[in-house]
Amino acid sequence: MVLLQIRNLNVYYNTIISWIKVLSDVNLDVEKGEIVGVVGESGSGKSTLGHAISRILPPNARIQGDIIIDGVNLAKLKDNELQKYRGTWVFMIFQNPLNSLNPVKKVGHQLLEAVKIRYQRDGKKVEEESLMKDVIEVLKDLRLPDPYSIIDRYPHQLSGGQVQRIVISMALLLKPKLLITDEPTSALDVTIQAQVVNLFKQLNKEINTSIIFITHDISLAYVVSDRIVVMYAGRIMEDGKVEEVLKSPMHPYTQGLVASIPTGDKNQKLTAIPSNPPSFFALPTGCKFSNRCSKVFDVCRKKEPSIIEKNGRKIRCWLYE
Amino acid sequence: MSDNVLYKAVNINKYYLAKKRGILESLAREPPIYVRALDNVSVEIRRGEVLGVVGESGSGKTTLGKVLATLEKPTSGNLFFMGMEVNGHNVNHVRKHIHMVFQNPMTSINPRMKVKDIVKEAMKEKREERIKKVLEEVGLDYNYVKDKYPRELSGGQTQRVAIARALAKEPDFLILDEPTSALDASVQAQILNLLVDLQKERKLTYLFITHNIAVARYISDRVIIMYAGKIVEEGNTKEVISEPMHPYTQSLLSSVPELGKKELKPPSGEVPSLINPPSGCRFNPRCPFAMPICKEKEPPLVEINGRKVACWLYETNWKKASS
Amino acid sequence: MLKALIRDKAGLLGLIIVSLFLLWSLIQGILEILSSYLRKQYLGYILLPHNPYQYNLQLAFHPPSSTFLLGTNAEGEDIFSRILYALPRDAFVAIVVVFSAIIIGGILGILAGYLGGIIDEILMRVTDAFLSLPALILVIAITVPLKATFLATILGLAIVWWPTYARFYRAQTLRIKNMDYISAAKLSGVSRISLFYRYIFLNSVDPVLAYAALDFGNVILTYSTLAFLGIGITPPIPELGEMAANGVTGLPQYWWWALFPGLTILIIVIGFVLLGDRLQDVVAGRIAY
Repeated sequence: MVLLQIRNLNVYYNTIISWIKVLSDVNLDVEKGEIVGVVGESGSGKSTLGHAISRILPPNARIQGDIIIDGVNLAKLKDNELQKYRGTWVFMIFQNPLNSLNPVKKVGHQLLEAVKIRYQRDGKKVEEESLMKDVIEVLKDLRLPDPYSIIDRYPHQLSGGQVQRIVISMALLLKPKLLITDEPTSALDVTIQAQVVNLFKQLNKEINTSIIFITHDISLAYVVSDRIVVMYAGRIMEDGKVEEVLKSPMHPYTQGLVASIPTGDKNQKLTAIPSNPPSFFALPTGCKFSNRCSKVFDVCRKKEPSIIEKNGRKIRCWLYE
Repeated sequence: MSDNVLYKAVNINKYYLAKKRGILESLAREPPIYVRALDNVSVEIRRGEVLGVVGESGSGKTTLGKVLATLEKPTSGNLFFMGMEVNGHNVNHVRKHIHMVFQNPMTSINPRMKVKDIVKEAMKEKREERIKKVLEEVGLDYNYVKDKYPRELSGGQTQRVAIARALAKEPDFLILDEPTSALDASVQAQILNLLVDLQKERKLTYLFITHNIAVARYISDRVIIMYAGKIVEEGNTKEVISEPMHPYTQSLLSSVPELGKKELKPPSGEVPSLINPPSGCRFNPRCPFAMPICKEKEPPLVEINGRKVACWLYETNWKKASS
Repeated sequence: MLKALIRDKAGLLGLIIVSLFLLWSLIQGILEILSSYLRKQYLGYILLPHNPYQYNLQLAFHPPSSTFLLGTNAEGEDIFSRILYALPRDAFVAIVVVFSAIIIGGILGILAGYLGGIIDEILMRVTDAFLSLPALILVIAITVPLKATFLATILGLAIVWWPTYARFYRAQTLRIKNMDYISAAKLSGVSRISLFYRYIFLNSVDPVLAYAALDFGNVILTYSTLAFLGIGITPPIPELGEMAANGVTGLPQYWWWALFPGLTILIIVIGFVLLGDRLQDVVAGRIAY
């Protein structure tokens, strides 16, 4: 059952110099309960994609295309119409935990707000005491120590990992259909990251939320996702089941990313992709990866390939057309 | 001391004041509160090796790097560089043999200086051919970058400039503090290759600080694992990572995502406070094997078949280390 | 950077006003200096429509007309010429005060921020003292005992003006002190002086200059207020604030007498504010990373 359908999404930014196109021709489907990892380096557009779906792009951005969740096209709605979908249909978790919470309100208050919104949208009216019980239940479920004292704390009194867990509790209370997480663990230590990643899996199992997991760490995407989408220069380059894509990557960029992961010891040189990810002000003509690709040939530099489907995998590369 | 040892740190403590202590606080006789960033840390760095330092936040790895770089003075303990004790008088002499590469290339280079001046400043003999040579050695096109400012270059290029600067005075010892963590994955591989080549060609010794186990495994010969300001395990990299002995090392390794591994098994709990660390072994609140003695006494670092571990699980039957 | 400045219309307006003001002050100022140096009085007036000292009681209280663009005052002197004659003095005060504040504040602020400890504490308490008192009162308290001359006023302003800049530089130094490039410089063996200049000063200067642009307007406003109160003026040399003070006595009949000097001050200060504001935005964008 498909939950999210993105069709022909293009996003433009109006910068000091000119309009630039940061997302091109993005088509993506997410099933109910599916976890899709979106992987890319800086400038890949993965973060913009997350912001576009939650409709929180900055005012100098323009969206073209369709973002349809359960039949509702979010891309065509105005801000005030979007209000009733925020939180319970789409919820977003950010990289810096402190950016997700209001620094001047106690954590318990914010969680209470979240659960109130859920009940309101469901049309139920419940007493504040029983709402508080829900909050405590969720905190216990996520194994936060001492829930009764945590709800009286302010965000800055908690560690990064604890704050992320509070934000995940918020998600558990809001029960969104789609959860978008933008590098949610990059600012956390490895062991805390692992704890938080397990919580995401728990969230996905308990309330069947679809998750779009945006990260630059392929190994992390492997652990968490069912499917993986590889982005480069604002385009989707490869899209398929995570086992298949990472065990046998088809796109040269994906192959390069996998080969960049340090394995073994220094006697085996790493096959690095040469040069750097491009700037949107100076994209190469034709395929945007052509200037770094080891398998490049003539047509790559002239025309950009479009996405085709091959063996259940979506791929954008002239090698396969 | 053997001729093989380049740098030796003995019983290093580094404590920082947790709160600023001005005149008013001294008058009010408020006791100073210390953050114990490094607690009784001893390490030997052998000539020509790459010693990896692995740990999470609060482990003390960055502080250790700064102390070894002589950027911070230890609160107590001794440093011996090439056999000579490092103190206030010979610090400048010691610094001629050491340099450091930092995590974020954008903040580790003066944004107001051109690339060629950045490298020139670190050199003793400031000749253009030497500047050109070292910039080319790190893979940069001299004529392209020499007059550029850091903001005009990419992250990878700027980090290469930082490496060139570090090499400019021909040091024997380089401390690298997370040199690839702020870079894109594709660029990270390029820089790692470069660092490996440079080490071989110039016969350098590296202290490579990182939180990334895969990177540590790739580049280091030996590795030390740090937790809450102490060394908990030390040994040959391949052995430590394939057969970790300390429970923290084990849970750290099982928290690291890897292709082919779908499950992560992290330890429970949080990284401890460095102001009030847990009594006894600092890992005991989170350790799945904690015994009563772990809460009472801190385990010493003992040596077993070339591996050093600080854990009561191994103390009882084996003889102590002599460091 | 110039392009980014010009792009904003308000910033552009500020730039135009400030440029005209400074350009005029430079030309007229040089002429005035030459005229007193070479003892050729007319040199000071050649660019002006009328001799600012030319009084003619029969022409007193003339409203704005084609001959006297902004009218005349009680002595029949042309107000427009007087305003133009007075402008260089304001520019001079603003430049001297702000630059001395930048230098004194810079040295003290960077030293305090970098060395910390007792030096820092002393500086902080001193700036606290200066900043807790109203600048105007403090300047008056310093200038009047020194006979309230033009130079005494500049001295008073300079003494009161540096604490804000010291704070600015100290904050920047604290930010920069812990940057990796300072550690790297120490390891590279960079000398202390080079460290202070190339590393700390050059990197703190951007936001300071942006604030300074705004601050010129503040100095001119304060100086005009002092002139209004009669401090810092050397009669018969016209001074904008003093002209406004005298003009007040002619309100509301002879409205042009007080209005135009006041309006001039207003326009100049707004010019600096618009320019400085836009500069701060541009600089903030530049040091964002």
